[in-house]
Parts: sequence; C-alpha cells; structure tokens
Amino acid sequence: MSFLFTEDCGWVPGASRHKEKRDIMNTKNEELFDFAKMSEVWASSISDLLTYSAGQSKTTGLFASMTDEMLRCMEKMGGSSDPDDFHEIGDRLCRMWNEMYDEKISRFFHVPQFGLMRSHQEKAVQMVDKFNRFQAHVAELANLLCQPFQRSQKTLASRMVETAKNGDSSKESKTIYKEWVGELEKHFMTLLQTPQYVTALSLTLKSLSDFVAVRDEAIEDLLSNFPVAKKTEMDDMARELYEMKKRIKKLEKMMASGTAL
Amino acid sequence: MLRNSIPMNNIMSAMTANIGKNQDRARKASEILLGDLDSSLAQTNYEVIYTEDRVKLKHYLPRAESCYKTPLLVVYALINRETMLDLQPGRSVVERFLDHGIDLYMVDWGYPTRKDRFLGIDDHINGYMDNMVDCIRKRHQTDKINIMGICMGGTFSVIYSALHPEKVKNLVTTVTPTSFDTDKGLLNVWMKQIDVDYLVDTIGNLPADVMNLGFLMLNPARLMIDKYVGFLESMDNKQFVENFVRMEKWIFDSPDLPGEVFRQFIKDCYQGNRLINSTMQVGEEVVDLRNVTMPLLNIYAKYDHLVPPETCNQLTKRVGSDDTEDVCLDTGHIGIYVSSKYQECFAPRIAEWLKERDYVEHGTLK
Repeated sequence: MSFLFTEDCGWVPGASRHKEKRDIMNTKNEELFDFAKMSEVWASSISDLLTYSAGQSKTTGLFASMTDEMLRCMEKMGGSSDPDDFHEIGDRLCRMWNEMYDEKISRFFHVPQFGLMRSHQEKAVQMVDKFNRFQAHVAELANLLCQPFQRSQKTLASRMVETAKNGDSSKESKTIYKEWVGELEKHFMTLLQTPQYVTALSLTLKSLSDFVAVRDEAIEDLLSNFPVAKKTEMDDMARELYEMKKRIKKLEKMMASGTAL
Repeated sequence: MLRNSIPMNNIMSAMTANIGKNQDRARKASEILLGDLDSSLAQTNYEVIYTEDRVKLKHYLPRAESCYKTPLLVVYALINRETMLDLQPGRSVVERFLDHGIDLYMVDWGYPTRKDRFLGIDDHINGYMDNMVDCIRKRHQTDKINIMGICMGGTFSVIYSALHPEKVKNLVTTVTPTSFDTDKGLLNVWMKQIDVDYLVDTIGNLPADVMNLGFLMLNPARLMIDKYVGFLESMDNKQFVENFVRMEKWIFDSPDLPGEVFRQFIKDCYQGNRLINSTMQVGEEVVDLRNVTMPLLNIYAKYDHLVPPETCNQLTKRVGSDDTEDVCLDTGHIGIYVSSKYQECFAPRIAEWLKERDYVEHGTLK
C-alpha cells in the first residue's frame, strides 16, 4: 500500500487521495476535457508518490527528481511557453540523468564478475555501459542542436505577430521561410562556436571511441571461437606489410640512385 | 504569458492558392526524375600513366597545341575526389587548362582501405607524390615541373616544395590551409579539442561519412535544409536537377581518410600550427618554408567556411621565394572551381601566371 503526503492530513493512503481527485474532476465535468488540468492533477499525484520514495534511498531520490522534472514539463502541455524554458528542461534532464548514471546505475556495470565466463561477461557488460554513456552524450549534443530551431522559431513568431499587429499579414510563405532559415543559420553560427558545444562534441567523440574500443574487444572475444581472422590480427599484418613495403621502396630508391650496397 | 497568434489563415490561403502550381511542378519533376538524367562526372579523356598501390596518376589528353615547356601536376586533397575539377563539359577547370595548352597531370588518391591506415603524410608526400613527380620529370626529360595544390593537397604541395625544391619550378596553392592558429573557421575551433590519438587508435581510418557529417555541420541551416528546399523549388527544371545530382554525387563520393594522415594533420597543423612556423617534421626532415624558393601564386576565397582567408594568407610572408602573389576571390571554398563566374577567370589567371614564368629560371633566396 502506498502513502501520499497531503498538506491537511499528512501521510494518507494513496487510494483515498486519488478518490479525492477523481471527485473533484467529476464535479467539474468540463475539466475532463481540459488536458492541462488533468495532467496537472496526475503529475501532482505521481510527484507526491516520488517525493515520498525520495526519502527511501538516494537512487530513487535522483530518479524521483528527474521524473518530477519530466512531469513539470508535461504539466505545461496544452499551454504556451517560452521555447527557452524547454531548452532549460532538456539541459537539466541531461545533467540529472548523467549524474544519476555516474553515481548509481554505472556501478551495476562494474560489479565484479566470477567464474569461467568472467572475462567475457565483463567485456559484454562494459560494452553496454559505454554504449549508455555514448547515448547520453549524443542526447546532450542533440539537445544543444535543438536550440537554434527553438530560438529561430521564437524570433520568427514574434516578428510575425508584430507584422500582423501592424496590419500587414501579406507575407508569402517563401518570404517567411527565408526569414526563418536566415535566423536559423545565425543561431547555429553562434552555437557552433560556443565552448559548451565544442566540449559536448569532443565528449561525444571520446565516448564514441570508448564504445568502439570495448565493442571491438567484445566482438573479437566472440570471434576467437571461429576460424576467422580478427581485426587486430589483420591490423598487425597490415602494419608488417606497410613496414616491409616501406623498406623495399627505400632500398629500391637507394639502388636506383646508386647509393646502396 | 504571451500567446503568439501566428496568422495561420493567411499562410493557409497562400498555400491553397499555390496548390495548382505545386501539383504541376510535382508532375514535371516526376517526369524528370523518372526520365534519363545526364549526371556523369569527369568526362574529359585521360590516360593513367602511373599506379602505385591505390594511387593513380592521370594524364589528360591534349585538346590544343601545347605551348608550355613545363607540365602541370594538380594535387587534390585526400578528402573528396578530384572529379570536382572536371564536373561537366563547359564547367571544368581541367578543360580550361587543356584549352590553354597546358600539359596536365592529376593525382587520383583512390579509396584507402583498412590496410592503408598506417600510411602517413610522409608516405603520401615523400612516397607517392615524389614518385609521381619523378615519373613526369622522366617523361618530359625535365628537372622541374609546375605543381598546383588544392586544399589539403595544397598543404601537401607546400610541404613537398619545401622538401624537394629542386623538382618544382612554380607552385600554385588554391584554398590551401597553412596557418591554423585562428578561431575564424569552425574546423579550427573544433579540431583544437578532439583527442585525435584516441580516435585514430580506435577507429583507424576516419570514415568518409563522419567527415561529411562534420562538413555539413559547419552550416546545417544551409547545407542540410535550405539546399534541399531549393531543390524542391526547382525540381521541374531538368538542367537544374542534373547539376544538383552531379554535385550531390561529387560531395558524397568521399574516400575514408588514412588514420595516420588524419592524426598528424590534426596534431601538427590544427593543434600545433607547426607548418607555418617551420617546425613540422615529415619523414626524417623538418619542413622549412624558407626552402620554398620557387615562384608562388596563392589563391584563396573570401567567403570560405572550411579554409578561411586567415589560414591561407600567411604563407607568402613565410616562404623563401621573392616572387609571390596573393589573390583573394569573392567566393567560397568550392565556388572558386565550379561557379560559372570564376570559371571565366580562375584557370585562365593561373595559366597566364604560369606562362609568364615558363621560360624564366628562378631560385634566389630572399
């Protein structure tokens, strides 16, 4: 049985709180169709539940804060908002996920493995861990790349409202598009030079390298049971071939110029 | 909170008014796209006179009587393909050179595979490039040839000219990055922070798709959205569609970049800025730009987003030659070779500059 915290009664069984909310909704029938109101009620209930579980452990606490953030975002559905607000939500969600992943989830991927299959399991688990981290960095980068779209749309919308207010709403869609793409380019040019973007890009590339390295190790591990050459073996051979060819070419040149032997 | 009221009714009525026009355009476009399109590239005739591993040396068959004593070797970048210089008849730098009577050679670097990941800048410059130069010298019974470098191929040409000045009569560099310590270009900003050692150690050759994505990200609004909106607007024009498809074919026909070349280019050039300071080591030698004593024509583009003017315009001040010229054109990185406006002046300008120096002996230090 779950308990919810109410301002008037303190901790009460969750079901009674839900019943209370259902009653409120039934008495105001028209609100059934008010999505914003409904999501607010729903979000508030889940939020209460998560706030309670936050006291139980740090992991659920972090998860609760993140879900809470998502719910606050959902509450805004159906209303209008400044696009920058959504960008901040995206930023906060990425940060909280990374924090939670680093502090709590990734530990599960570092639990020592035992037995005959120990090293294989370790590589497979590492691969999942590195993939998750790569995905998190991609999400951060994608979040940054959404900003110019949000900002250009905001600028364009305000400009269109302004022109409409002045009684001029005769702009063709082509003109509107040209204005938007110009704004978009401007915002991209600003973003792509920021240290924040450069850092996110380099972290994404690094996490991609991390993932590729462990993925290749895990695949090679599997391949070692089959009669095929592994990538590292082929690379070793290519290096030997490269060095041999280089020596031969050098000798050929020396012989041609008469400086050898 | 402000609720923006966009005049959707006006937009919708404008769209409705255009429905007929758009339907007509879509019908014509489908006829064009389903019909025969001439989008072939690099149609000028050539013969392959030298091959080494994946690398080929092309010699273009003359179209006019040769009036130059010295042949010209064009060194393209390892990124994308040299076919850009010969997009289509009438829009071809190669054709222009041949029409001026230049005996023209071009390096085709081919498509590196995984086994080529260990080939570095030294192997490309002191190996392949030097062998090709020797091949041309032997063929023409001459000590020196003219070299023209494009973008990264220009950087290679500068390095080659500094290491083998006795084999280069005149040097032409076009959109060639040599000074990298600037924040004017996004590539310069981005490359400073990447851990290139780790990247190359794990992925080997740099995949072409990754590079192309990076180039598209230099201006996503124009290169990933506006370009295709422009295509939709003009897709009922057959000539436009053919040119568009041709450019798309060229842009995305990219070889992977050998890992060791990428490693040294990023570390020594973008991160260390060693070339312009004459401290870059290639093979066993340090590249001293004061050894570039031959005449140098340095052409770059004012609106180049890949190789901004700041990365090109330092070269003439650092070389040892007393015959140098900087030319800044009002166009972009690719426009310099393919725009109809610059087709009229780019190749003829180089041809004229080479002609003036064809019978002159140079080589004096500053």
